[in-house]
Amino acid sequence: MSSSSSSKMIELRSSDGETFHVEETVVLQSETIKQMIDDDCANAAIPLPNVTSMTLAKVIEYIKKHAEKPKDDDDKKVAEEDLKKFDAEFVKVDQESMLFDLVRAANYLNIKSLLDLTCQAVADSIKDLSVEEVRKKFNIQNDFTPEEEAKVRKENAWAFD
Amino acid sequence: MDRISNLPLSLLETILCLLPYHEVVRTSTLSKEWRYHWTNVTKIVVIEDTRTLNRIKLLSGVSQALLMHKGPIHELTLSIAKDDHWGFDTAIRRIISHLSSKKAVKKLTVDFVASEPKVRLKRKKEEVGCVEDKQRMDAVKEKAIEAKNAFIARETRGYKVKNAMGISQVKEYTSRYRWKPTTNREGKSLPLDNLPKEVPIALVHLKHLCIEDIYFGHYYALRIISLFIKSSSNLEKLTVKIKDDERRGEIMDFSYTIEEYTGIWMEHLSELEITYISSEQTEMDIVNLILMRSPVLKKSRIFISKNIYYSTCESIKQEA
Repeated sequence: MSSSSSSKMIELRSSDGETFHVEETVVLQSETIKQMIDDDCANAAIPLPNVTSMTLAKVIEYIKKHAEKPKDDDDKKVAEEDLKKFDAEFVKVDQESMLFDLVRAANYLNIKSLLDLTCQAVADSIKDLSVEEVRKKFNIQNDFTPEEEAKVRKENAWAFD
Repeated sequence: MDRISNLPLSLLETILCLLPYHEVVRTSTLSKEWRYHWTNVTKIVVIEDTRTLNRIKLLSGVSQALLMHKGPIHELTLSIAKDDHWGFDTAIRRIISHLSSKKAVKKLTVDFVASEPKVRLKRKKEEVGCVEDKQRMDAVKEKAIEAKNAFIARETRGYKVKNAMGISQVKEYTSRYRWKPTTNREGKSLPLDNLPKEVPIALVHLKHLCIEDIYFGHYYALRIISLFIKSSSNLEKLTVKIKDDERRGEIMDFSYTIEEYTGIWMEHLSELEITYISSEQTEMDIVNLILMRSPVLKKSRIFISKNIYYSTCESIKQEA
């Protein structure tokens, strides 16, 4: 709910030492943090050693948006559309590495919807690419000899048509 | 270190599960590290697209690749157009047989993408030709469902699918039943008696039945639903997604009585979801029928079509 004034604030600390203040109701979308709060471990700043401040800022942007509740049913449809647009824009990141950082953060913080969204975005970015294009995109070093590669390819020739 | 490989293995596999299977298999040639990642995916989606040159080759490739699969397979989706080629059934049978031996499959979706006949509906002027074409369409329709059911029967005998696999969810896509009923020149429905009276196996493991894109302009729809319900004695959840398109509202000439469906009794049904219902009598009858025959129904969600007027919404709400 938007009654922010009454909501408790939780302090999060990124790997590079930056602190973020987020409403408890918002941050509960992370199962990991929810568990910490339930276990009463959230009185001081919660350290997130695996998440950089840049990634954490993005994650917070996401959970804040997803915490907005529509007022009524009419509003609900609009909000759903809006959220869809937001999600689509959200995964359009400048750097590929940011997307992977988000996947990792969503996994660590256990935010299922964000994990689904980012994994899907990675999958979509590979889809329809040739093997060589995928290598280039993700900077994968081809350590097969040409003969070895041909052999692997032959094993499942059907998949390369 | 490359960007994708340093993701934890579980995440890598999650991402691979979201790709069509042939693309997953292709990752084997990325690098030595990637050599066998593909053999551990738990979800497999075999999908035919416009670039699929030979679907028999695709299917037999899949069945061959499955032999190399290491981990459990929880979900397998086949989305492919039905093919009359002799190799088609063999390849599918091999895939299912392989899954049966794995014993871990929780969800199997077989979607024989409607291969719509390339006949355009002709209007009034050529009535006779029109009837013939429609009949041909219905012939295709019959074949599709018969083939499907025959297919279930064969698998059951040969590989004990129902026991070995413990399928808990089956999706039946019915996009090919959405056509208008065949009418002769007087506008009366032609009999469609070829629909089997029951599914050849009792779907005792089936907990969730989802019927998509069904079109109630035809009594076929109710018969298909009842066909599956009758065989699924342990059904807990029923989802009916009614096709919501412009063909809606064309009045169909058909008749049936609810009494014909006395065999429908859903002792375990606790959840019902119907999307895009309109005020049409047939659709209301179906809701009534389901509500009447489900003693332990706890939760039902009925969504109303966006194409109908507010006043009818009200009356639907009241009746429901």
